[in-house]
Amino acid sequence: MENQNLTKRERKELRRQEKQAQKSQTVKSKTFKSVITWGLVALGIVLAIWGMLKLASTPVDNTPLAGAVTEDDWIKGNPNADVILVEYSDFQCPACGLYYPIVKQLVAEYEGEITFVYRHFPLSQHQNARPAAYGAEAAGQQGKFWEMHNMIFDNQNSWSEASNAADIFRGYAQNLELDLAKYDAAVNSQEVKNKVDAHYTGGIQSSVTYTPTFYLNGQKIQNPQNLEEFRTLIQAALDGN
Amino acid sequence: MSFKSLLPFLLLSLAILGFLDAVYLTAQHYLGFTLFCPITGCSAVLKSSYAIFLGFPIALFGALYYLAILLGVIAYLDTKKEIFLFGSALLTLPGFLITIGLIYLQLFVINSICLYCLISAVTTTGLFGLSLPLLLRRIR
Repeated sequence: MENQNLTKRERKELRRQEKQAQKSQTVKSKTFKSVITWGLVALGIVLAIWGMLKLASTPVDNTPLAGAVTEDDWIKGNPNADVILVEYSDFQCPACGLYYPIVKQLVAEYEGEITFVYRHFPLSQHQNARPAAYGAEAAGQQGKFWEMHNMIFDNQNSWSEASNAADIFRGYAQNLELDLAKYDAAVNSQEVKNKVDAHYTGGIQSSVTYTPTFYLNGQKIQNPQNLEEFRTLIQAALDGN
Repeated sequence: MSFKSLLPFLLLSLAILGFLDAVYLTAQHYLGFTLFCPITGCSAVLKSSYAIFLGFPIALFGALYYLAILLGVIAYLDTKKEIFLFGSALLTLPGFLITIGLIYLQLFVINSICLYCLISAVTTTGLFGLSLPLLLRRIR
C-alpha cells in the first residue's frame, strides 16, 4: 500500500484535501439548487403576471342581448339597418363619457347603415345617474331625447359630483326650450321611473355588469380601446351581412 | 409537520394569492375601461381618488408588497437563514395596518366594498396572524 509509505504529515495533508473537496462539492450542489429555485421563482412570477394580464384583457363573456330592439327604444340612425349597436350606459360613468364622442362619430360615419340604441343602466354608486336618466326621458317625451342625452354627456364633469344635479338638468331642458311644466311632471312621474327600471332590468337579464356595455347585433362585445378598433368591429359586422 | 416547518409554506400560499389578486387589479387599472365586478360597488372603490397613491394604483404597491414577502420566504427556504423569514414577518405588520385603513375608507368614506380588495384584506390579515407568534417571540 502506498499510503503506508507516506509520512504521518503527508497522510494528514491528504485527509485535509479530501475533506476540502467534499466540502466544495456540497457547496457546489447547494449553489446549483439555489440557482434552480430562483430560476423557477422568476419563471413563476413572470407566468403569474402574464396570466393576470391575459385574464384582465379577455372579455368576460359574450352573452346575447336579452331584450330585442323595439319602437320604444331610443334609436339613432337608420332604424331598419342590418347592423344594430346597443349600448347600456350610465350618464355619470366616466367611461361612458369617454365612449360618447366615439359612438357619436361612428353613428355619423355610418349614417343609414347602422342602428344605435341607447339604454339606461344607472349604477347604484352614481347618485346622479338616475336623475340624469329621468331628465333624458322627460326630454324624450317632448321629442328631444338625443339633444338632452348629448347635453348631459357634454357637461358630465359639471354635474357628476353636484348636489343639485336635477336643477342643472332642468337648466338644460330650459336651454332646449322644452315645456318646463311638462318636463317637471315627467321627471317625477312613475312612468319615467318605470321605463328606466325596465331598461335596467333588461340589462341585468343581458348580464350587464359594467358600463358601458355594447351589444353588436345582439352579441356582447369587449369594449374597443379606441375609435379605430370600434370602427373595425362595425365594418366587420357590415361586411358580414 | 410542526407549525414552524409549515409556516413558510402557509405564508407562501397567502402571498401568492395576494400577489395574483393585486397583479390582476393593477392590470385592470392600466388596461381597461371595463371592470368586471361580481359585487356592485367595486368600480366605485377602484375609480375613487383613494385608489391612487403618488400617481400609482394602490394595487401596484400591493403587488410589490406581496412580492417582497414571497421572495423573503423563498430566500429563507433556500438559505435557512431565519432573518429572511423574520423580515417577511415584519413586513406583514405595516401591510395589516394599511389594510385596516383601506377597509375603513371603503366602509365609511366611499361606502362601497370591492371584492378584490376584500380578498387582499383576507390575505394580509392571514399573513399577519401567521407571523404574529414569530414576531412576539423575537420581542421577548
